[in-house]
Amino acid sequence: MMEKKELIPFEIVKAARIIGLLTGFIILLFVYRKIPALFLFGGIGLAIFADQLLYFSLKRKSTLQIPFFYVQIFIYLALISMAIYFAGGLRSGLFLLYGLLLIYVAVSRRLSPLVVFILVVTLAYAGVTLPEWRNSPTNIGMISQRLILLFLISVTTSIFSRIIVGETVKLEKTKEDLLSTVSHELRAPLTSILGYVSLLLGGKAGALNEKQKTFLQSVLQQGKKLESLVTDILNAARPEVFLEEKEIKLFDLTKLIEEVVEKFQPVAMERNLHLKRELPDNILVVEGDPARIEQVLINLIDNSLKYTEKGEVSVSLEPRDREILVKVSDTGPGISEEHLPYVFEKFYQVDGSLDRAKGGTGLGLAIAQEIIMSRGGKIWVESELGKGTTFSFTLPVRRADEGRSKVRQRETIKQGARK
Amino acid sequence: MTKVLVIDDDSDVQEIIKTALEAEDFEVTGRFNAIEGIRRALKDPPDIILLDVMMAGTDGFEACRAFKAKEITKNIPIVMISAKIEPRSQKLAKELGASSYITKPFDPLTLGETLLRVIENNK
Repeated sequence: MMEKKELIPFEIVKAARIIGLLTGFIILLFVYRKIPALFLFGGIGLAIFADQLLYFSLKRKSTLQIPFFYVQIFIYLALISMAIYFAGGLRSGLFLLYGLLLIYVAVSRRLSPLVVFILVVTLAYAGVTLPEWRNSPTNIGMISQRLILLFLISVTTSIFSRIIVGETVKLEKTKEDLLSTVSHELRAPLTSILGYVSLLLGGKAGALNEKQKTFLQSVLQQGKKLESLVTDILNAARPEVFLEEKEIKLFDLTKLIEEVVEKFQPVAMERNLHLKRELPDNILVVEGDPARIEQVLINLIDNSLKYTEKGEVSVSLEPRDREILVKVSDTGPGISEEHLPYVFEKFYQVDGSLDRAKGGTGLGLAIAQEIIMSRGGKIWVESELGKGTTFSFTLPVRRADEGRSKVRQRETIKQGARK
Repeated sequence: MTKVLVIDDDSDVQEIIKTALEAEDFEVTGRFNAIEGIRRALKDPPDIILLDVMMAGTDGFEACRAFKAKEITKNIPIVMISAKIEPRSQKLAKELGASSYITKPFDPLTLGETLLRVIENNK
């Protein structure tokens, strides 16, 4: 079996960052008298730097959630204000750190939170320099000047970053439109090609000899492959169109997996691979559009079969507390660490040359991710070079079950209280 | 003989449908745009209409609406046939009263069977 190398869930990273920053803040608060000021600022700088480093090194597709963002910003603000206070208030040039913080807010959020945040910064700065401007009112002018400077810097940054983001969005939109049009336009010639070939094979234009039949069979097969690639492109261009679930219902995941694996048996046999399944005996009910979940399974199994030269591909299903874990493991070449974080990205191909031989758009995994995330599940990959790759995803179990278990819990608590 | 009216601006599609259906004893009439198609259907109502969605001028959805609004063509089953494979288009077609939706590329060899089934269900 391959070594387990699960990526750290993003929630834990977030929690770790908040706890880390808070601990750092409290420690600094208690020991500031005992250590030289320089160390103090070093400590603050280091805390913020480490936090950002952690964020960027572990950054994945998910964006920061708003509450977390604000908690983080206010901890930064507190740290900076403290530094300014101990560095001598107005005399210190550290107020420029507020500028950096404002720029950070400006590039990550919209203009309105920025305006609120500017007010908060104004209050904070006024607070830490309180003794100075109280004693000599002329200092107020200096404080205002500095605040106006910060204000101008951050608003300008915000506007420019909006413009850049706007351009990117526009570009993205054009790309989607293009892909969608291409996908539709490619269907017209494909319709003619596949239509005529089917007619010829059906003997509607006279009898064919064996060789002609074999050749036309190949044309038909390849044409159908092309059709599914064209569908993939449309899928990627307009994921929301396909995520639109036709019918949401409760269905048995065990049975669905059984069916999909069965469909792939001939493909596995052709490639001399062993396709096995490890499924529990009981019914496992999840909620969603079975066609979408089937698409995920097809993409994952197809992917594993494509890249595995010898050995096996196994599909397993394991019920957990509130979710069901599905794994698709193979004994293929594995994916190197540098490629791992990107395998779910659109059009990403681990090895261009290899992939061209296998055929594929680099979209299957991206589509799988969209579908699983839209259902509130998680999807990830573990791999070791030379040993194999495991794609796993979870799906929440249906809510009715959850409700029931909550009721049961409450009953247990009540009973406990009575005793 | 079952009379089929095919409205599609692609001459290849017309040819393919014609070849496939005529071999199965359908009487096929083709029109290259929606207006011509509607005119033809009013003059000589077919048993079933095969209607493309993306056409220049009046598109298939509008044509479908027009067929369903006219007394003569109201009860003729309509089968949409389109390169638009999105669930949204299929839903819209259903809402407009189309009996079935075939996505392109389609298999001409099973088309006749599908049409007969739609006519049967429509009775």
